[in-house]
Amino acid sequence: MGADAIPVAVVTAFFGVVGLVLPFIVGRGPNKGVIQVVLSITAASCWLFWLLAYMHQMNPLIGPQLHNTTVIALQYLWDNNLNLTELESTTDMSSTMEFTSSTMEFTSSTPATA
Amino acid sequence: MGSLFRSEEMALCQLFLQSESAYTCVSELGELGLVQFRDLNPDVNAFQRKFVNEVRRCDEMERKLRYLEREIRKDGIPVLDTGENPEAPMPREMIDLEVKFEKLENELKEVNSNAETLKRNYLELTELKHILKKTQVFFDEAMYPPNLPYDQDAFFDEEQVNLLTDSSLHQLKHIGFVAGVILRERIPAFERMLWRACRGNVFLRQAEIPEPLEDPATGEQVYKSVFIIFFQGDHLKMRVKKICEGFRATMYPCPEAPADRREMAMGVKTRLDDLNTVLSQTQDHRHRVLVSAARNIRAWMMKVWKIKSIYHTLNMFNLDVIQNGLIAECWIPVANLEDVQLALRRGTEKSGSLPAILNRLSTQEAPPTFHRTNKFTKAFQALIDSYGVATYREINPAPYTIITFPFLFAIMFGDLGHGIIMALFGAWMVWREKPLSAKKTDNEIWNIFFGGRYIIFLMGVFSMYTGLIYNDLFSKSLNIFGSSWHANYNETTLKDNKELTLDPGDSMQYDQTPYPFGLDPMWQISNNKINFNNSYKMKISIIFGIVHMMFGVILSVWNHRFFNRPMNIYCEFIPQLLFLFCLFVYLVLLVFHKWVWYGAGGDVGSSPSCAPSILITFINMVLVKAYEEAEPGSPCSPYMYSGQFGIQRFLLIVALICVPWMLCAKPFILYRANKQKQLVMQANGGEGVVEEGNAGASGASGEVVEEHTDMGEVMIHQGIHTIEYVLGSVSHTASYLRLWALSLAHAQLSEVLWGMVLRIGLTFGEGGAGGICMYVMFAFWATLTVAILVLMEGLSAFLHTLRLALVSS
Repeated sequence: MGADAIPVAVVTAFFGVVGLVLPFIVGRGPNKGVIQVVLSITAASCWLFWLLAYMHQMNPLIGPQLHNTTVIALQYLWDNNLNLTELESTTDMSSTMEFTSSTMEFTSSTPATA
Repeated sequence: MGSLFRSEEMALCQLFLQSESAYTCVSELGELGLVQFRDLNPDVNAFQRKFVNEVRRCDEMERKLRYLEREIRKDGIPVLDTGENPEAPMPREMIDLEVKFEKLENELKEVNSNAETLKRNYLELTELKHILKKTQVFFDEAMYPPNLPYDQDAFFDEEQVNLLTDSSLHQLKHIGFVAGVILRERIPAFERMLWRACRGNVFLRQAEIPEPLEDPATGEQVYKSVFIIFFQGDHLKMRVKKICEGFRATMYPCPEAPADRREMAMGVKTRLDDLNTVLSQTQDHRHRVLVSAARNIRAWMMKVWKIKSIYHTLNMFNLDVIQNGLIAECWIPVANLEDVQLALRRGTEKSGSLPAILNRLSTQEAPPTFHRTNKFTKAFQALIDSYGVATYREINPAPYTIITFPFLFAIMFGDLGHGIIMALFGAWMVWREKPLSAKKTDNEIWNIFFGGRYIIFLMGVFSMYTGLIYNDLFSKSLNIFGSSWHANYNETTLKDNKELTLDPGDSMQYDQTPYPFGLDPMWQISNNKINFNNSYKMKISIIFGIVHMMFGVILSVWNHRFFNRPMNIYCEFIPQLLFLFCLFVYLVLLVFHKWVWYGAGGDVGSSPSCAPSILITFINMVLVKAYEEAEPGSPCSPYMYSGQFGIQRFLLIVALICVPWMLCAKPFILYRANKQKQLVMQANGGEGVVEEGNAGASGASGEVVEEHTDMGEVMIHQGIHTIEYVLGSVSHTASYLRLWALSLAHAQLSEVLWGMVLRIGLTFGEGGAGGICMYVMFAFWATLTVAILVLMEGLSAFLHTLRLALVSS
């Protein structure tokens, strides 16, 4: 529940450089004022946009609602914690192609049990 | 502050030009492009101006050039546009140009009329040829009529048997005939008329001419038919001839004897060949003339335009008879006075006469607004000006719009894939700027796109950024950093439940820190994505809206300080700021508080089930709802922080006070100042009639006092301003919700496109068939994607209304 320090620091520092430091460096030529304004407004609005996305997800009030087939794919592909007894006995977990075919079998049997 | 932030300072100047050097000086000033002349003869008719003859001559030249251009375009000759900028020629060169154009025009007209005559002859000869061919058929048929039982052997030798002179067919003696050509559409009516008028005593045969013939007058292809009419006697002959004339059929003399006809046919053939040669030579000549004209026509056009504009400008000057010169009044930016002097010097050197004098005047008039733009900023300035040109030396919203406009567009567009396409398109146009702008097309739509190339490029780049944050690439998400949500269900749960919802409070399922950059990719594949997104996008719309509006209000401070109106700061700016702050910034703060304070996994009072709706809270605040006690037994408090009720009441009262402050403070102060002024005047012995500065009466002398002391008008003006601001702030805030609405629509549309179109191709099956299907599907998908881009590009029209908030100051 809360913010992680590293992303906040990195993003804020990046946009801080763009918006606060760069304008002083780029001072030359007839368009100096315009370039400064452009840089600072860009940095401010982009940083604010990122911040809002970040803060909205910091303490979520609801979680994502997923279809069970999606959960199976997720657990296998992203989290690596899929334990299905049927699966382990019949297939080799390292092969994706076969897994696809057995998923098909699995979903077809789900309506019967749900 | 740079020059784009405020409009330039302008000076009113007077120019004294000698008559000889007037033309060249104006030409030099025109090339410089920094001077705006005032019309010193406004009530003089256009036909009474001094240089009206020269303008008329220029008009004539322009007309000739346009005629030439039309002919060139008709022949499809490409016009060479080198992009060079020829200088305005001297007045004496004008005569040369006139002569040249006249010669060209006459030559072209002659060639055209010759061609027309030739074509007419050609048409006649062609028709004659067809007639001769067809009538041969008629005569043959007449000799061997299908129904009569003639002994055909006797008439075998066609050389000696002739329809009209054979004695055995004496019933056909005294037969006359008329041959001609008529438009095919007119044949039925023609036949009917003939039948009725001649009581069936004439015999018409007709045959169609297969190829279409070219009508010399209009140049279009028409279908005609050959006809031949047989009749007996002179009366019928006259009648037939009249009818033929009435139907505008062209008649040709057709010899009776077949031998004569054959001779004629051959003669016609040779004449046709000759005509063809002559025609093609004429066309060649015309083509050569046009090609040589096409090389120079752009340059000539420019020269004529320049001469014409110089004379138009000279028409605006005043004639100074005393010194035999011309007087001009113009607005020049103060920064460019030196350049103008140099240009004048160059002009007088060219014509070799006395130098021109530049005199700066002081005036009370409002000078024109001039923004110095380059090719990048020009488009944004044009965008702002389309809403309204800023008054003289007012803050220019354009430099801020360079970023805010594309950014607000990007919030609505928010797709990485579409953003890439748009950015590439804009980048291509910017990169190929020079060759593309040299090609002058009349295509309006392309010109609009090309003019806004920098805007499109920026919109694309920002859309890529917002697409990354929304995590939307053609409706798919990228998982760069690893999702913060994890599922860890066991087998029975998976089998038993169709839908599973992850719990944010469970630290096995949610990492307790969010996805570092943008929206978590988990949401794209979840069923309640829209619920989550709606709340997110509505909040960002409101927050950005409030920020934008505050920015606009704060900009107005600079205007007040520059124009030295401190009263405005206290009477307008501060109540405006307070009003916005107390109501809307407080709303934003509530949003932030809810984000930080309420979440799963913590103490019960701040759990998701207890989180109050911000909208309801805000409404209750404005409706002055009474203090609510927490229900006994429930851990939730109706308030988000202690003391909320008191603070909200206080803010509401402050905001309500701001309204009469905005409405009455300024008029009241003006009224008091006016009263004091009048007391001072009365104390000084009173010049003129002093009237009470009350509602409805006009105030003191107009020249000295600039401000209107008419109380009624001030009150009305202030009232309008207040109402506009108060109501506007509420409605503009709500109108920022369009950011949410359009972004939702865009995301849904791209999802539909993917799911319904591209997926079919991707899941088709293996083998070659799948490949072909994918090819077709991709074309379909790509077309629709680009079409949706164009559709969404209409979003920019919505953005114009968002600019309103900025310019509300």
